[in-house]
Amino acid sequence: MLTIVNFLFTIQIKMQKYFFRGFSKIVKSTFYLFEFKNMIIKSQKPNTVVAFEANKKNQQSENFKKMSPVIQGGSPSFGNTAAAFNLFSLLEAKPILSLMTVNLFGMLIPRTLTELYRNKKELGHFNWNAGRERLIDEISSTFTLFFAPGLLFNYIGNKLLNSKFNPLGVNTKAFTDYKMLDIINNKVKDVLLTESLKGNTQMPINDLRQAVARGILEDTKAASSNLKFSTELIDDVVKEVGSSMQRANMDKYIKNFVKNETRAEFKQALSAAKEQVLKEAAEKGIANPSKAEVGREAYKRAMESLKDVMQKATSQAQRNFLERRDRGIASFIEKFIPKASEHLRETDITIKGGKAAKDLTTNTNNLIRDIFTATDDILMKAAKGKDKVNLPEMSNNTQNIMQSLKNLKLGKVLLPFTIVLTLLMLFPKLNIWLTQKITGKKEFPGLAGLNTDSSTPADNKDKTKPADNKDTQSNTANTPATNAPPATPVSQPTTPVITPPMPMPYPMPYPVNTMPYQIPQRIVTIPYNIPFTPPPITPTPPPGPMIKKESIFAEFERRMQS
Amino acid sequence: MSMLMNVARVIDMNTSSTSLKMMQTLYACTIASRLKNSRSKDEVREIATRDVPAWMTFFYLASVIEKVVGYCLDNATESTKKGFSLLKGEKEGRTLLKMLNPFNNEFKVRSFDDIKALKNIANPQNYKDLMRNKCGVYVTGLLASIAVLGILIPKINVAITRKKVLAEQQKKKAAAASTTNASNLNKTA
Repeated sequence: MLTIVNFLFTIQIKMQKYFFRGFSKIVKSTFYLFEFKNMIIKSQKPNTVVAFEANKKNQQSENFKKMSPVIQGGSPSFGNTAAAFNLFSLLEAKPILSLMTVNLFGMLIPRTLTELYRNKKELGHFNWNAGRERLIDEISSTFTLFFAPGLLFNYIGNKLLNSKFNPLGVNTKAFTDYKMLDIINNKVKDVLLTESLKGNTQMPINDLRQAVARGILEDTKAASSNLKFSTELIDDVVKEVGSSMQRANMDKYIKNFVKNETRAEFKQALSAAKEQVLKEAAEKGIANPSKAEVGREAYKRAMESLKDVMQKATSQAQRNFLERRDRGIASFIEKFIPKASEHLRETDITIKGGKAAKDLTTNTNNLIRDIFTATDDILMKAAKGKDKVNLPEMSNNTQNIMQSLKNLKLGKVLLPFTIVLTLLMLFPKLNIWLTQKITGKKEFPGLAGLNTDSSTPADNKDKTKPADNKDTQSNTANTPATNAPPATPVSQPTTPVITPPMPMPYPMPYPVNTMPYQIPQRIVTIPYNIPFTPPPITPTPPPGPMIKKESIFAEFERRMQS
Repeated sequence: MSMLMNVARVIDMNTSSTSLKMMQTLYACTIASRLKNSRSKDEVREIATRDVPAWMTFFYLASVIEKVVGYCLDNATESTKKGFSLLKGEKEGRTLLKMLNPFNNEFKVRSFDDIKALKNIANPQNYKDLMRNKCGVYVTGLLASIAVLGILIPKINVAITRKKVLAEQQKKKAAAASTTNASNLNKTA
């Protein structure tokens, strides 16, 4: 026992040293996880935030720090645990990874092995056919479940459907679900309707954006939860979301502004640069310079000459953007957070300190950013670059965009789904066809070895069976009830045959009295557990006439008569 | 169109990875396809005994086991009794029977992220216990589903088929023997 333990320990050290350092760490750390005695805390404090703060100040939680590297960022004595924690949390955070792990270790590998070892005793070897069939089945189902929809979703969505249903190029990454589209759609409708009821026909686009955002937040405010966020936390979130939104929008705005502002100047500079390049080429003696090269060179020179103008335009755009940006966003988000948090994380935590609960809002931030980015994007695309929009036109444009986005989403989901369904119907058929092609049998390979009829090679079976039937038929047909000489059999086995009848490992396929006199040697199948000694093979004389057995009463009757 | 829309909403896919609902539907379709293409009644039975329970196991067993083990660990740990518990929801209404219901979402095991969010709020002992229990619960759920899917179900399946086929062969043998005896008796008669 000691030797085995020593051996395992040596292997573990070697593994750690040379090969799987990370893996062995994970394995080791999983054992540490369950070592409870190391995890006892000397001084347990009451369950309050204040007490915890005091504990931290007095440095009484040293033991806790050592024991929980995830919380405190790792420690030399218990650092390995972090790897396991991180692995598990990664698996849990991505359910598809977790399912793939279960699929690999719970389905693909063990099921293939089970089929491979199936009826091994009876067959005398691995059940290759069953193993192969299961492996192909599992691989194909893994592909169709985990990879095919995603590949098709991306390919069909981005390459084929996006250009058709989303010609305006609305940022679809922000649309995580239909719910979001519905929310935006309803709010835009509401705002436009209320504005038209007021008698307005036009509206500044910024006001519209604010009104829509306010509408979304007011709707969600009604069902706000008990969660209470500190002002500090809200400030943090607002800053983060606001800056990211601002950055994204600002980049776009500046790009468009500079493009529009310098269009005429750029055209002039480009044509001038082109002429200059062509002139230079002629001076160098190049007769037909390529258009692409000339264009590239001219573009470079034009950009260089317009450097100052571009810089001026950029700074102007920045100034404009800062003036125009939505200053009300901070208050919107402040109202929106409770609902979003409740929706995303159903916890019973009462948040007391702003910073402590910051982790909770990671997803909230994303959601808020997505909703506002999406709304902004749709509204800006529908406004077609105008600062003041016409309400009926805006309504039409928004509706069209929404409908096309819905269609895009429908196509992106349903097309891969139908393609994968077709694949699912095809794969088992192909698998069965492959097995049939390799083995030449139609039977289910899992039964090989159990069913002796199916274990005989198909070719032999096909060839032998009709011949046997023929023999038996001819024999029975030509044997009259009387002792008349029978007709010669149609086919006589040329190879030496075994006499007398062999012990059969399966029930007789025909009644005994109709059984042919000789049994061909190839039918013999030996069960694995019966020791087989082949009987001596002797040349047999040609078969004589079949004699019908007399009834036991015949002798009795004869005697009675006599 | 609206029906298609509803279907799309159910099997909605947001990113390049397959959604859970879509995966469930596709796996059910895989089983249906296998059943349709089966070659014999033995294969049909095998698919029914192997793949149909596998569907439930693949998608629900881990969560049920996590809930049950989490419930037991919560009750066994002092700090989780007083402070934050591993399971979400009200502490009072918890019963083992409710934990066994795979479709009951009232009580869920907290995720690693949820527990990490408690790090400065919960009592250190409570937090540490939660993390430890969560690890145990998660590993148990994972291993249980792997064991049931990979070992238990296939072994039972093979054993059932073996038993059935051998029983059938025995029946055939007996039938053949009886016909032989009957024919012998007829001849002698």
